[in-house]
Amino acid sequence: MTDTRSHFHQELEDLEKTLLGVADRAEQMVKLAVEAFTDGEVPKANDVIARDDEIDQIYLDVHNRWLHLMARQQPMGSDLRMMSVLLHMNTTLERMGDQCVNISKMALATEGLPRVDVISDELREMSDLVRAMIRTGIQAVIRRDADEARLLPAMDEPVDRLNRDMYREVVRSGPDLQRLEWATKAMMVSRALERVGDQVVDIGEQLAFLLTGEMAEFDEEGVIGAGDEPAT
Amino acid sequence: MTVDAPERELQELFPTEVEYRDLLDRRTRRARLFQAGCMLALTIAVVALATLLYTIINDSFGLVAVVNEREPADIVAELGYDPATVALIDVPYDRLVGLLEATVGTGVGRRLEREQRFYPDRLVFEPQPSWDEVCSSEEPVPGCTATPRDQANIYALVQERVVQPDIVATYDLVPSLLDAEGFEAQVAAGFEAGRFEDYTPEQIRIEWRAWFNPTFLMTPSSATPETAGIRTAILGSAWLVAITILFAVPVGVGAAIYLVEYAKPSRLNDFIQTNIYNLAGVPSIIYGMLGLAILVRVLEPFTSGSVFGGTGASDNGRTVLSAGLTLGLLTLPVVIISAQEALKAVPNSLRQAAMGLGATRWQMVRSQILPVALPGILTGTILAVARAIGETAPLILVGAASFITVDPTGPFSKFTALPIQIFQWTSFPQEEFQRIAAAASLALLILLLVLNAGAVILRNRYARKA
Amino acid sequence: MTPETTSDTVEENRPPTTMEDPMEQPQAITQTGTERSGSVDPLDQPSVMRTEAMDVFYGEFRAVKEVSMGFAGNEITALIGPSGCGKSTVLRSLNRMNDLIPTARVEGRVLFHDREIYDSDVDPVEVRRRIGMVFQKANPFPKSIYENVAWGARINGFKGKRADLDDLVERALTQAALWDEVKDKLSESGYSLSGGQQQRLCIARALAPSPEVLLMDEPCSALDPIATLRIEELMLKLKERYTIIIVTHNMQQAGRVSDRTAFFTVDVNERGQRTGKLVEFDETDRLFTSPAEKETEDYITGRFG
Repeated sequence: MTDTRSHFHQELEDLEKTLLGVADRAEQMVKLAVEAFTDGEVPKANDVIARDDEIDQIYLDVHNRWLHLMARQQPMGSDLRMMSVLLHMNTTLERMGDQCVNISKMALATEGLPRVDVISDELREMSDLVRAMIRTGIQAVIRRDADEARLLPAMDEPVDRLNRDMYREVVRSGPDLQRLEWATKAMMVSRALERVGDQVVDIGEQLAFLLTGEMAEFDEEGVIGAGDEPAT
Repeated sequence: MTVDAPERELQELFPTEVEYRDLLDRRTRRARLFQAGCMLALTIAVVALATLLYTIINDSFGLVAVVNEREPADIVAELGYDPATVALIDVPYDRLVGLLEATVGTGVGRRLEREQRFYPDRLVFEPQPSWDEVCSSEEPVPGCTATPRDQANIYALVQERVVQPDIVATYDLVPSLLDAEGFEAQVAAGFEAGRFEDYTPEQIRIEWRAWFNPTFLMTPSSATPETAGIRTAILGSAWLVAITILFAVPVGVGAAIYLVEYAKPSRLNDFIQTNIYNLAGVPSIIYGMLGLAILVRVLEPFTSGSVFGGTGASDNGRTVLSAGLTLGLLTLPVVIISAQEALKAVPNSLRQAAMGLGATRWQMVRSQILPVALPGILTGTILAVARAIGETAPLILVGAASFITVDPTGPFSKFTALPIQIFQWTSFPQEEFQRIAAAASLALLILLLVLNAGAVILRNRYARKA
Repeated sequence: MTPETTSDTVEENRPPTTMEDPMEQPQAITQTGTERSGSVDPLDQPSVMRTEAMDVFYGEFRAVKEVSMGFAGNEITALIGPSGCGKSTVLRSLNRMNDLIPTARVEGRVLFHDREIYDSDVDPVEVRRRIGMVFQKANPFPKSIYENVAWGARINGFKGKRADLDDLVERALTQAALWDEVKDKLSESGYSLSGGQQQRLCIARALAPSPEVLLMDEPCSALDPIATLRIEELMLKLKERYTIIIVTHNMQQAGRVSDRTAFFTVDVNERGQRTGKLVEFDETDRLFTSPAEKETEDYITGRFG
């Protein structure tokens, strides 16, 4: 198979690699940010904020490269869909970084406050789940595997559930005002994590579009909602 | 390493700087040698052609030693005109006829008149009062149908019969210009050698003569070289050219159009094509034999005109029509080939465009192809005809008369042609005949030049238009 | 690769790649392909012209095989594909221009308004009047601009007087977006125009006999980009009145102007003979964003061998 547009395809690949690298960083940032919050480690929070600055830089850079590629190359077919996916991923990943910054800011805001262990445990669990989702998403994109992408809604379900339960735990964290304050902030961390989970599902849907040419949302079972059946 | 190594090996096979320069010198020398060789070839060709031209022109002009039985100036004066202002040829027709009547014998006069009338209505040498009687006999004479004589004709007769110039010696052009005295010496020596026994030195006049002159072109042929002209031959050639064109062009161009535009590739068409090429190379005498066998003999009723109501002018097939058709057949393959080339040179995109608009093939050919191909067809035709004008062998076979003084009047006339006339005159030993043969050759050359120039002009004009 | 491994080895300056296996590259999506319906003849409306299992032969050589497609009225249909895939052959078969090649032969059916154009009682001259053609290299006649346009109408029996012919010429030149540029020099030679203008003159010439369908064989391939765009604009206007079928080797052009696109490719059989075939025929939008056939996808993304 000769590739008559190997230069272009190489640039497309590079763009994809860059974004997958950002996803990888995002995964670490989730870990660090949540740890910073549950363990009260300020340096970690600052680290995450600094890393997000880098992600913002990369976002601008990727956007530029994307624009130039579009102008020069007139992509078609799957190349065109890939361009669409990359644009989407760029925005989504940048937002993921922003969510991690939010978590870090919560960590900074609750410095010195007492923790609620139950909530901490649940947050760590959410963090693990979300990070697993990110890695699954990355793998699915690398392998162009729609089946793996379809696992994502199921993996997001517990994240959503934990997020919903977080309210009860916050209420239960008792009359102590300081614990309550921490718990309230924890609620926002939970919300941030839930959002990251949704964003990973988004990326999964993008992958399905790349593979099938149909743009649609996953339902809970990971089946494409509207349009024709995806290929095997 | 693996990429560079072959590169370096190959580089070593090229000459070094020094080697290259040596080689370059040798190459340049060889190139110049070839150039010189080609120029030499051109020079040889040009010299050969120039020599030919020189010879012809040299023979066509020069000094002559002539004895007139009666000087033209004296005749003019006798007739009552001023010789200083009036030339013999300008003397009115009637006076010249009267002069002739007074000079030649009745028998000769009658013969001349029967060959060609002096006057349309009345007779000069016959006892009968009118032509009708003469012409109503069983075998009417040529004079009944031939056009009456005209001024040039009567002048020629007077020259021949009254002036009776006798040229005893001739001289080439270049010596005439450079060494006139040499000629006088030559004539004097001739007298001493006793060659001019009939005359005395006083009778001989040395004068300049242009064998090729306007009168020469307008005078009909005659037995004496001094008075002969090529009018009959030119008219004969003109008729031949006309008939050739009228036959060869429509038939040839039509055949070419069919072969190029309509015929589908097939073995039959290849066969026809090959044979047309072959026919173009067939020697012209073969065409002469064909003409003789078929046109002159088998188709005699048609070519002699008897089927159309015989004129009796020529009761056999050796007419201008037969010869013209023979030449037409001769030029036909060449016309077909050059028309084919012209048609094939039209870019195919024009055909596609025309057919794409829903044209029939004929509409396409007529409106788009022919106009573009026309200059090429014309050029080819003119060149083919120019070749035909010079053909001698087939005309001999088909019966060009070698001595005829009557202008051809129609397709069924007897005729002669320039090449035939030249051929005939060169076969006589007398110097004077060589001179007029050269003059006739010059005429033929000029005619060909004009035709070729016409072809070039036409081609350039249409090439600029396109 | 497990999540634990990743978290244990986290470093500040990890290289931005998660390729555990450096050889595992993102796989081309074409490995899976997309299979959708809509490969052949998706016309959902009556067609002006269509072919049914059309084969075109030059002597014994089969240039293109089994082409079945329909052309909708007042649309532009583009035929694209690599060289030798038979798209020009297909185009020329639609107005019987292939008849001019002695060895050419068409099998199958070609229907114009449901009438088979290769029937023995159909005159190709009439077919070509109703299905006109514009060629790759502009080929105006060596006549005046006026005559170029008028000739087609004349030979087809135009009955009007000179004033009517003037109107016809003006109308054709206007439709070809050339009138303003030549209206003051109608008697000048067609060759006095620039390349792009000459091609528009050829378009006007083709329009003069009032055809229904206009076939265009790579009409812009010999023109500069600006002239090309002008003719593309022209095409988009013309399709309001005519049905246009265009062969182009420029995919972007097909993308810019056509409503439907047919992709052809070359099939090489065991004996090395190359025959063209129709791979996919769909609305242009779909064909260029998510083609159904892998061959189409490979061609439009430049991955073919």
